[in-house]
Amino acid sequence: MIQFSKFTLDNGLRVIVHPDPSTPIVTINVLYNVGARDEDTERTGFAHLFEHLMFGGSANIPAYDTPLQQVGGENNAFTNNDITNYYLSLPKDNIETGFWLESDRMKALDFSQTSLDIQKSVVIEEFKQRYLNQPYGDVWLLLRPLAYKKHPYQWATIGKDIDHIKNATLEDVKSFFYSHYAPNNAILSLTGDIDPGQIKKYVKKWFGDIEKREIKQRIIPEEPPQTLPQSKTVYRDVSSNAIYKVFHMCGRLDKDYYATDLISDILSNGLSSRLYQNLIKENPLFSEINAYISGSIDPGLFIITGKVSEGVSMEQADKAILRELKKMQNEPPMEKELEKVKNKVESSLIFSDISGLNKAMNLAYYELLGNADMLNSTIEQYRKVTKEDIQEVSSKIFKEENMSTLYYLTQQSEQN
Amino acid sequence: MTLTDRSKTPAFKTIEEIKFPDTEKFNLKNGTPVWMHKSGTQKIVRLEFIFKAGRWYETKKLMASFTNTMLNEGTKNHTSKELALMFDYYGSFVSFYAEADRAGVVLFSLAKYLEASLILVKDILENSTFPEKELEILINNRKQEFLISQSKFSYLSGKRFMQAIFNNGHPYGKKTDISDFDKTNRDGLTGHYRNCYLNKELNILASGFWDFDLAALLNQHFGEKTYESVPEVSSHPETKEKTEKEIIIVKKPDALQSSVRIGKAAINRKHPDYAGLKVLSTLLGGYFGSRLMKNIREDKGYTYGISSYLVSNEHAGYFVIGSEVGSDVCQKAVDEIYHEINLLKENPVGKKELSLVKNYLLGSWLRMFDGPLATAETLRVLVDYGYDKTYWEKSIDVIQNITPVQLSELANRYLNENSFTEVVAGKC
Repeated sequence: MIQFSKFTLDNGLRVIVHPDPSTPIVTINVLYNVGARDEDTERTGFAHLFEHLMFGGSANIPAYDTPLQQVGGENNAFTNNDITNYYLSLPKDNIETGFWLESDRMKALDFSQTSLDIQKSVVIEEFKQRYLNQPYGDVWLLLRPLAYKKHPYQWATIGKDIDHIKNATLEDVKSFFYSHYAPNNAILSLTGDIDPGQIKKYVKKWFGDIEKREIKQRIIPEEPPQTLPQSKTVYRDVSSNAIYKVFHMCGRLDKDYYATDLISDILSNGLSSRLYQNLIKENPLFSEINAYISGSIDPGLFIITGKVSEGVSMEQADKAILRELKKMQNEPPMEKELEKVKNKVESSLIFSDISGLNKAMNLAYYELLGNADMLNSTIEQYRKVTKEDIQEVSSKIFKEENMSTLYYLTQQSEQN
Repeated sequence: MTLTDRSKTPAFKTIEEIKFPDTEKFNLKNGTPVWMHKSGTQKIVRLEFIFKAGRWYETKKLMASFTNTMLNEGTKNHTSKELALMFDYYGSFVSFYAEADRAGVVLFSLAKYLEASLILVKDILENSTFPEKELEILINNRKQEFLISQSKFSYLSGKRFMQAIFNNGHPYGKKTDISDFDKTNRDGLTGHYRNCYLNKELNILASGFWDFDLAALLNQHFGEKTYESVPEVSSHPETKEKTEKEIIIVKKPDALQSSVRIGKAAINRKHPDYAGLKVLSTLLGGYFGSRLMKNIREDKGYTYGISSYLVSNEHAGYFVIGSEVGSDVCQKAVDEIYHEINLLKENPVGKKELSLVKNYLLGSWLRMFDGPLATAETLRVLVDYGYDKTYWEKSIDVIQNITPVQLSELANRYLNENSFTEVVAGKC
């Protein structure tokens, strides 16, 4: 059980406090309800570029990192398709520095052309490092548009075109800030050896005078049901053939979410999972194989990725995956197998609540989904899933017309 | 309500003291040392079994890593699949590692399933059978993984760097070829198992939060048998300081980014200068506000990230600066790296910057004790080197008291460009 208290400021900022006297470190997490799905088709990669700019200085603080390091703190941030999340940790005596830093950049960022230019080139290097200069690095740049035709999940957080980053202007960036960064579009969570009463005073002092802002209305086109299987083949300078299959699945708040997650666990969580045992061990068709879900807020993807063993044809590999998926549709799992994956989920959830940072992030994220209390009830949701649910949801997802496949092949196989 | 004054930094405290978490050290009945740290709110246990079974002790390449992974591939009592099913059923996670000096097994378990999982770990440590069939699959998969890594520039530069700074054949800088996978066989692995694991000395590190007598449980399962010590290996070549800079280019004409490694073999934790050199390395490239990050990322935009590390292995350490930089600006980035090193040698660091680095480092010491999992990793140093908390106290004392003059001296002593090796994978 993670105990916490909540309150909301007049300007709409939601705050969650979880006291944990066992650690000398306080974590402050600020989640902004903006991600790559909020971007314009012609200006992709903005939410993430913006995350970089948030470190470039605010109205009263020329550089974000310096004062934080000065008091023994550390920070980072990430952007995904749904949210942008900032976090810092620091010794509890110096907590006020954290409030000062986070509130100043929520109140007013210092927009400068120099900072924008530098961060544009840093992001371009990040794009190269993560997506272009890595074997299999561009997989998601190919898969997303294969599976999504209308929904903005069709582009990765880095953006669909590096030119969108190159062409970003100071005006674009400013308007992005004022239409998405605001107390009424953020959730602040804190963990550590802290006193909720004292925290409330600090929050009021530092965040209370930030004005409520008008948030750009979220109009996201719904992805229409896929009616035909999609596939794409690319040849790259890699040493192994790989296969990627994705299926549309429900969103994070759908009742089928937990069953879907357990399906991915039956297939691929742990060395005893089906794909590992059947397709790597008993019949070694793959050198690596995984199944997982994207877990996004809007309807997401069920993903299967595999590196095909040498000498195995793509057709063999493809069929073997489909056979395993067919099995999920045709027969329910054994009671004991289902219990096994539920135990594993329980354990994972408990282990993910050990560090202050994880607890702070999880609390803020569940609050965004509807209620931070979900953190404590998630395991019950998983426990409720029946073996019939597993079979039923598998049948819904693993339909041929719902499938998109990417064949990522070596250049030698192109010549053959 | 008074207006909040945002123009000034709020008052803050310098960290004067790091409170080390309570740890208990004791021996099992047979003398096996155990380090134990109990804290946290969730009933979980992290239990690590540490052996002298790393690359330092292997007689053939890849032996340490393959033996370690194969521990989990079948015992006299259970097949590989049965082991997997049971660990998964208990929701336990087991991780296997083979490092430069040590190798081991880490069990992460809910406290309620600890004993059941612990019995399985005991089984894999005492009764592993190394089945041929499982080995063949592992070799094939590792080979494929190796081939994939050959197209990762950061992997290539990192490996090439380690080979160059440690003499050829030294266990810290071995070169792996695809043929080494074919030479790996069951006899070799069972030999390494007998030499380093089976009834051999080990250290146990326990952390987490539990409500039973863990010491008694460990005594019951690991305190009865007599464990022999592992003979020390002394035949490895010495590492000599280079007198002329070595530049190695791994050519990749299509590289959009080039992977750079610059550094040298260096002192390790046992040397009195180690803690000070670690401060210097932090100042140069060990945190987000470091000189290298400020210059090469935040001022020039040449890279997404750049950092420097000082790493300690038991018999030698190394110092390395690493970055992936745009190929078009690679030479400029390399020049800036040397420029920053020279500045450290020529100009004593300013008071303000030094105080910032000190505070940052003390803050990271607190983070090293953020919960039982982080604390366990921090404790590894005491386990591996046989130190007690006075080692931590001394390190903190160095951080708190080191002066600008001492740092320049360290830079002049250890960061001599002629002693460096520079590796670029890509095009520069």
